[in-house]
Amino acid sequence: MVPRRMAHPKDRSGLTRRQLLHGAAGTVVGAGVLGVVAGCENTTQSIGGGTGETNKFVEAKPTGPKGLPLPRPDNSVTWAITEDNPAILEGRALEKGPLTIYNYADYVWPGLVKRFEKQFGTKVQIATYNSSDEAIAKLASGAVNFDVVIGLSGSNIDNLIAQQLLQPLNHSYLPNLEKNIWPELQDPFYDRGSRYTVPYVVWLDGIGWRNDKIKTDIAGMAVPWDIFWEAKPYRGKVGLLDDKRDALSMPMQRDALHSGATPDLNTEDPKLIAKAGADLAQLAGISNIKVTITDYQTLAEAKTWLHHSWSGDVLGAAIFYLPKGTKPDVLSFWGPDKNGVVQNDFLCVGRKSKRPVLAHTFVNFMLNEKNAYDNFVQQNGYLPPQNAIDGDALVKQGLIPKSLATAVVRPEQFSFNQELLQLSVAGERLWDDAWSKFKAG
Amino acid sequence: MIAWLRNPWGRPRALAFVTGAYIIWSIVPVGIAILFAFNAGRSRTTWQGFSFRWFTGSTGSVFHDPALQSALKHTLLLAAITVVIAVPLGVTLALGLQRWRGRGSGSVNTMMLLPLVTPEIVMGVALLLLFLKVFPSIGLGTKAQAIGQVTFTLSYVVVIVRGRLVSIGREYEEAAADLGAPPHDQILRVLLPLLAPAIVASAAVVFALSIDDFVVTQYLSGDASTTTVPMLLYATARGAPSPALNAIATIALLITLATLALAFFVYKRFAGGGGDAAVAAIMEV
Amino acid sequence: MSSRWTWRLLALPGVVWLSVFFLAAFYAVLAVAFGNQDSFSAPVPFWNPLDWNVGYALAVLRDIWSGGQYLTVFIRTFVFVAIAMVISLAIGYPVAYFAARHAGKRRGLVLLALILPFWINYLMRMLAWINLLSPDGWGTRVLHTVGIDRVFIWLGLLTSEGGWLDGQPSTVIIALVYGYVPFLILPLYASLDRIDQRQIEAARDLGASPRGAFFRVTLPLSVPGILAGSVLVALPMFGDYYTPDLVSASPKTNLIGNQIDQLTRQGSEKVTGAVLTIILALALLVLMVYYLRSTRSADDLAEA
Repeated sequence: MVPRRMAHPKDRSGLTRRQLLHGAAGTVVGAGVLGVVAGCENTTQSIGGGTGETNKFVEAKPTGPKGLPLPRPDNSVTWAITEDNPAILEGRALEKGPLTIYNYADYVWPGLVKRFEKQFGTKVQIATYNSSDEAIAKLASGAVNFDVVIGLSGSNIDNLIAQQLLQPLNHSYLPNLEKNIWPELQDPFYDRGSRYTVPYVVWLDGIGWRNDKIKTDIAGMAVPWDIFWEAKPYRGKVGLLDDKRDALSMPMQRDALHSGATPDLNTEDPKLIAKAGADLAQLAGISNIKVTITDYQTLAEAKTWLHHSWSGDVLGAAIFYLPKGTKPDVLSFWGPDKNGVVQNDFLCVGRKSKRPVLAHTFVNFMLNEKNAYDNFVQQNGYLPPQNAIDGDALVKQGLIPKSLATAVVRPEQFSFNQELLQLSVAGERLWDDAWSKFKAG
Repeated sequence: MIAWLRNPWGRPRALAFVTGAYIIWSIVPVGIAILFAFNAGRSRTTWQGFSFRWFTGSTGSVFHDPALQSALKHTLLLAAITVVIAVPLGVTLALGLQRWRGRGSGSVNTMMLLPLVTPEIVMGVALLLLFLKVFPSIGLGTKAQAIGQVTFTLSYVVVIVRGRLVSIGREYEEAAADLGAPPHDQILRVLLPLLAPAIVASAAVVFALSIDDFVVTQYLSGDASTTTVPMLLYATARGAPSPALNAIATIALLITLATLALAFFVYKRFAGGGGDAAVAAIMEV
Repeated sequence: MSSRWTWRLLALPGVVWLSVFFLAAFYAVLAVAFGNQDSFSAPVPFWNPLDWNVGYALAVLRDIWSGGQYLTVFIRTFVFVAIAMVISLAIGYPVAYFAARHAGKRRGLVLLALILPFWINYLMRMLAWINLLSPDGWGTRVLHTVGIDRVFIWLGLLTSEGGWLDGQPSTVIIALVYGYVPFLILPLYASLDRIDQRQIEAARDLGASPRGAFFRVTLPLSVPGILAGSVLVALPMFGDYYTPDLVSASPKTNLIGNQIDQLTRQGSEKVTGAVLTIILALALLVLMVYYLRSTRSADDLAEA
């Protein structure tokens, strides 16, 4: 029982020999880097495991798990397709169902799922998760297999690739990708060539509120995020997104807006992260803030009045969840013009999918213009990045109330805002610690 | 209250009032939740008229929502598997423990009782790590869920069966032994028939426990096909519940109560001792 | 085959089952808690106790020692459970007493009503309250009409009228009481039912006032039941995470169960989660041992 190593647990140098032999620890597997990354645009050599010669001339960058590069807009990554995990061949026949999907709750319109079932004569089963951490942990445990995984994003891309949780896509099954999707997201920096992922929907992190309950002109405030720190009158009716990256990046954006600086929402600076956590902790005292991702329901039913929201949730609330007799224009949304969070998430095929053709078919089905549109306007509220869907036109037609016009994401917003992206192992831990401290209250 | 303290043999009005209020408080909210399963509208807080739409309607009802149906089926399947495994294991363990004296029996007894007092989250975490790290080949899903449920329901079977064994006493077996019956005959021909009511009662209790279990089942769940009714209740109660949720909870409740009522009558009919003994047997747990 | 071996063989399958799936599972928690994690935060268990890495456990203990987040959560959990237990006793004792002593002909019916909540799914019972306590729910309206919400606001237990689901500790505690009080009433009932009427009559004959008879005879004799019931209520409350999740979701009502659930099932730090699980289990083990001992000595007293 006598411990042999008293090193700090998180100091991973304290590994046993046995572990080294098993290669269980990520830090010692840097040699695998070249195998997984095909090439990186501005650093074509490996990053973590380069030779002394190259390291001499290149400033070291933080790397992700297993030493994989961290994709950034200025550092795009093409993920290799490895021999042990090839894409399926062209022209295979459709398998029999049921198709198994892993997704957030209420994140696809059930009518669309039925349409797929009817069209392809199969059954669909959807399991839900509550946070990306939960999803990754469960997928990585190897204990479950899914054909299609929906809703994960660039903030987990290295985890997905390094643990080989996804199957490479065969684009011959996905004609709708090239045909319908915004060119900006056809060949994204986090997955050049869309080898493992295709975009599902896009959103903006912002503030959703009930303008029948809150009279402050939040959008007109110098720093709208301040409303959460002035929310004492709405105690108990205020919510924060239950996602560590989104939540902690909110006070970072607020600080940057105050100082006029450009924030780095993928920062690994311990001070900035700790400050963000401390700022959030104030909210517990000010408004007894709730930590949820059910704003689409609670805003609609006025159980919360003010919520840190994904734009899609507020649109979904207006489209589907409002009780009868409540007009959609009681909901308002504000999102930052720049330096905020704009993100897209993925449709992926699970690594061990037993029905890969059916899975590809489902992905392609979701990229279909009419299906994507129906999914958006019938319930989901998250805008699919489809060329043919013009959000502004929907506002003009009155389908989306004017008070929610800024909840509609436009392609160019991706250039003025930031995406929450994969962090290094150490960085991820800093965010984890700050988040868990905040959640402990 | 004071008046009653002065005269405990008087009519305890205050006590009766507290008890009545408690019973109303504990049961009426559930009654209202059941009522809303029959709401004509989508609301769970405003009554909009009586209807069966959340049971049989064409959209979103229990009978037309594959997720609800699959959850109900899986819940019943798990309960059946758990009963089939846990009851024989528990009955043999109870028999063995009851008659096995000497080395080892004490620690086995303690081990058997521990699952009864272990908080579910501790059990859930332990089993989750077991299936992730020791038995990855079993993985998460139906198998793991069934094993988990058997593990924590086993003790209930032992407790119920042992209670009955104690009340039977050893006379019957000893008589059989005197007549020259070998041990397995004593068990098969003498003890098992006498134990039948307790076995039925424990099967019902295991069935009901399995249907109601949430934590262990959630920790060990795999893909969508392994979602149970309680898991669905939890997930949807935090998201966007419709009265269909109340409807499926009502159905699950009816199944539980019917099972227990059946066990109650079987016990009453065959174990003798009237209803009180049957209530006691189920309450023992 | 001797009959001695028959009984052991009979017990064998059950013993094997519990060893493989219960004891081994606990060993897995130990191996994970004293193991390490890889760079995806996946746990790497150390099976050999000689290899055990106490670093994670030390980090948690250091946090508790220095008054960090885990101490906050442990204290909060303890306070919530303690208050909920006191309230449960205040409700449960009179009810159990009535059922055991005064229910008369209606005893069967009363018992049935007391057992019923046991077999109604816990989540269904919570769901019922969530609906009742929403701003426009029937329960909120009744509580408002009766004026209870104003009393709660006056006491500082509620921040706004009808704001029962606004993340209030009071709501979580009441929900815990509602959820677990049946577990208290039944053992209490059983122990009160077992008390021999004649002992109370004897006390009366010897000149004890009714109040004296209650405090000197009935109450001491029901102590084992009170203890048994309290432990049966406290154990699941200590492991609860779904109740605060459903009725509050505020960090101010996060219990140790929520932390464990967050770290293990939902998440990224299973090793720390396993450490917390062990600390919780150890704390409760102490409670259980204490309870077993005190009930035994109380039983001895009663027999003497």
